[in-house]
Amino acid sequence: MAKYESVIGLEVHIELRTKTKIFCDCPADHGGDPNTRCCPVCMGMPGTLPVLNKRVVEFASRAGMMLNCEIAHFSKMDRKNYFYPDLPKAYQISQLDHPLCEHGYIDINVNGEEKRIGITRIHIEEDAGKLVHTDGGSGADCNRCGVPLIEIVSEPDIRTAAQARAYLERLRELIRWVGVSDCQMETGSMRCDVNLSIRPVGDTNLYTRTEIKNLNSFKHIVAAIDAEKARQIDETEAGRALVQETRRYDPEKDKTYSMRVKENANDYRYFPDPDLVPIILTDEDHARFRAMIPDLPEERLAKYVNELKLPEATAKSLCEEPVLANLFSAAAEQVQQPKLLANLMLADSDAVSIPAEIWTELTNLCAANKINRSAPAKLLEAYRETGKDISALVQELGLEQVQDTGLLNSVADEVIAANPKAVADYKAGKEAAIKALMGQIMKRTKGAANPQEATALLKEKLAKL
Amino acid sequence: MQLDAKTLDTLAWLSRLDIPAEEEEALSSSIAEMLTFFQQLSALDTEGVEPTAHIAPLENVLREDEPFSERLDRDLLLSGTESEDGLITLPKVVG
Ligand SMILES: [Zn+2]
Repeated sequence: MAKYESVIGLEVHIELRTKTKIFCDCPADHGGDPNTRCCPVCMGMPGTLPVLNKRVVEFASRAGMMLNCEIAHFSKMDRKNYFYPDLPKAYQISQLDHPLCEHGYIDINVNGEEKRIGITRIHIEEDAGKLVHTDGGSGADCNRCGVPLIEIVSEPDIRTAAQARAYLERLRELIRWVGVSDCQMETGSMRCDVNLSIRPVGDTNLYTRTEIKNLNSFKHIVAAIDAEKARQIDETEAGRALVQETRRYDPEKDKTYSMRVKENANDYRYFPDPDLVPIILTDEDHARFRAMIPDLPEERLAKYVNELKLPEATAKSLCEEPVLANLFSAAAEQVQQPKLLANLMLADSDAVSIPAEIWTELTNLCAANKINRSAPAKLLEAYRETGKDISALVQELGLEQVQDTGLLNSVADEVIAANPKAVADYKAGKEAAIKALMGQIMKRTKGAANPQEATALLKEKLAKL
Repeated sequence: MQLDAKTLDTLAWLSRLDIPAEEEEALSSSIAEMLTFFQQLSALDTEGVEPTAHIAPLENVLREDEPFSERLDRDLLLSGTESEDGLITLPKVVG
């Protein structure tokens, strides 16, 4: 039996995290009752006109730059015509011959082997609606109609399921990192179609390929690739010709099956959309987008560990969430103790909702011992409720650490005078008795005394007695 | 210009139209006539002319990514169509 290799190209659709849809001002986020997030434009009603969302161009360009693409100076929108009830206009606005981004790549590493996977193009397009099938028949929900997508098309450079997985993981990491999508397979904000053909190892021709659609997890993608490769080898070995077709993967049977649609008759009849004018991007636009491209995630991690001296686990936790990492980087510029900042941020369950300058202020107050260690949580809670200045809240809540040694001095004297038994016990060698005295000091200062300082002061005074 | 039966069949399928057999011939010649009319455009010499993406001398008609605060009421939006529980009722087309 000849040895075969698979030739794989991936088409990945990613939802852009804009506030509004691509051609109208309907909200683009998930949720809502059926048909409550749509309007005459995204429902394709006659007489309406689409207007392109500026941020879609920016987000798609940034994604392209993160994936090493060239960004177009001239780009345009086209109509892709096809009939399906989740598409009210009977065409999808997409891009055919002038996509926004082209000629990129992603470097992957599988078992120590480096490989570069080419990216043919990235174009912008609108999502379709959702069909809901009930006993009574089918209904259409247009909430998703017009949600902005980018489609990222790879070169057929992928040879194994492991490489496909590595490519997708790196793609997701980079797109999340550049901040234009959350890329979640579970919610459908990232979707993947696989194009696969086989050939004898050493052959460089391309043969009949099939497309496997609607794969909704990395695990299924890997399994579908293995199952489809095995099927194509079986067919070839048995002397049966492969058909170019769309297939689906059934995880229960671990097999792909044909969708049996009239492929040969499909013809999208693309043409330039007369409702939308060309997108022209100048060198200045490119430079503006370029300025928003962050360093690579691994560069950031190295910086946190080597320059800011964060423990590796702490640095990794920060870098897992790009928004959190960016917030940390911004706040860290103004603090002397980045590790303290990182710990404060990671201890909070919703750190990204607090502005960088608040984190800076909080860290610096802690570092200077101006507030005690339990104060940050109280301050953050109060800040979320009131939005007041941190310094005002420290005063209001009485969270200042007592720095006034004169005050601490007199409180210590009072406590010693008021607790002769504890003092006698301590002098008799029961060191634990000092805890009772400390407790009294904390009580009288309402917890504001610095414990180390207070203990030292007490010991000093007791020694003199 | 001629339009063969197979092309007409494909066009009808793409448009989801059922064309009665007795109308096929008349329709074929009518479409062929239109195509012939458009063919006159091929007579023009377009040597050295950049392909045009849009006839209006406009570019970058863009909007800010800001949601419109007032949403159209769903009942109004769906008033022109049959609906049930907020879903647009569809003829059986799938499966
Ligand atoms: Zn809309």
